[in-house]
Amino acid sequence: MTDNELIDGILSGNEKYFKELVDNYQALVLNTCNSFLHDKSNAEDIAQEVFIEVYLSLHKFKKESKLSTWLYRISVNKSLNYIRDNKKRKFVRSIEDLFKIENTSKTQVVDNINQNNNTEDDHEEKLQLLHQVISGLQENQRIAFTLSKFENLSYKQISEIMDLSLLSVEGLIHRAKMNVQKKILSFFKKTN
Amino acid sequence: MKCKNFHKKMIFYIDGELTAPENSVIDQHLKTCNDCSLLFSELKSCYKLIENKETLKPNPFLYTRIKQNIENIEQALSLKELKPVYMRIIQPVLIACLLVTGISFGILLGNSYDNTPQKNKSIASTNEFYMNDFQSEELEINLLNE
Ligand SMILES: [Zn+2]
Repeated sequence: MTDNELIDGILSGNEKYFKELVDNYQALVLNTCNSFLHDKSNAEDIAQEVFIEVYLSLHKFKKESKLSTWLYRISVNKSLNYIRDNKKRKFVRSIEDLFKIENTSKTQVVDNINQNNNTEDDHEEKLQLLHQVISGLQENQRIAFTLSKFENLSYKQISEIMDLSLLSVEGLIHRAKMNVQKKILSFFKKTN
Repeated sequence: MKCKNFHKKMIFYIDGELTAPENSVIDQHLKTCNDCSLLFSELKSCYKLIENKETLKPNPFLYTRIKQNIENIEQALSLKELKPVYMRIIQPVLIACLLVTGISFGILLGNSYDNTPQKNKSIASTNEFYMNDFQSEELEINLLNE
């Protein structure tokens, strides 16, 4: 069954076609969300929202573009919106935490330092650094870089999703890589 | 090759985006420059972690959850659509009905009041009082909602 047949089926009110659409694309949506969120349970929540939006606005979808392009686009937007909202929440929480600092015990801090000595945590620390560096990129660089490096999409696919020229996408990814390199190295220079 | 030039190209070297001659120059520099070689291995150990990204398997309940959410949304939407209809059509009709029944009740009670024997008069008038009170309250609520 082609995507257009699926869409027509859903619009005619047949539920089984929507189930098939979800079955076909849930891995794509879930993993795209996870590429931005780096958290399985958040990615599952956002993937759910993506499909709800798909269902509710399918009648607006223009069939000349690919369904997967549209799904990637909604996944990216929803993930970034979630991150933005979450930042606001975290900011409020960090203010609240200022008043609770005395509750952190000294033993906890010592434990954390000791843990950093083994390689598994070194790996975890580097992964955190990498995610932090990518999330610090300018938004369009972040989207293009993430779709290229985490989702292994071609520059052409990315240009369709972001509605930009191939040249712009190339430029964005090039600059993103330069920035990623600069930030990772400045971190290592600081720690050594 | 200068160290500065090498720094500019490291990440593209890791991603295999350089030409063969560029690659060999970099290889050469890595062998001869200790500082750059150290820097390079640090960058690579971090940057290469992108490739370790795990592929998630979809939750088997995903579709059920989506369907449940859509049903909730559609229910909320249909209630919203019902509201204006209620306001514009059902409510005036309801008020009119109440008015008609109120008036006819009043006439009926007025007639029965005339026919009531003298000793039951006080009971009839208290009934009348409660009923009229009830009706005007209903009307007030309806008018407030409008
Ligand atoms: Zn060097």
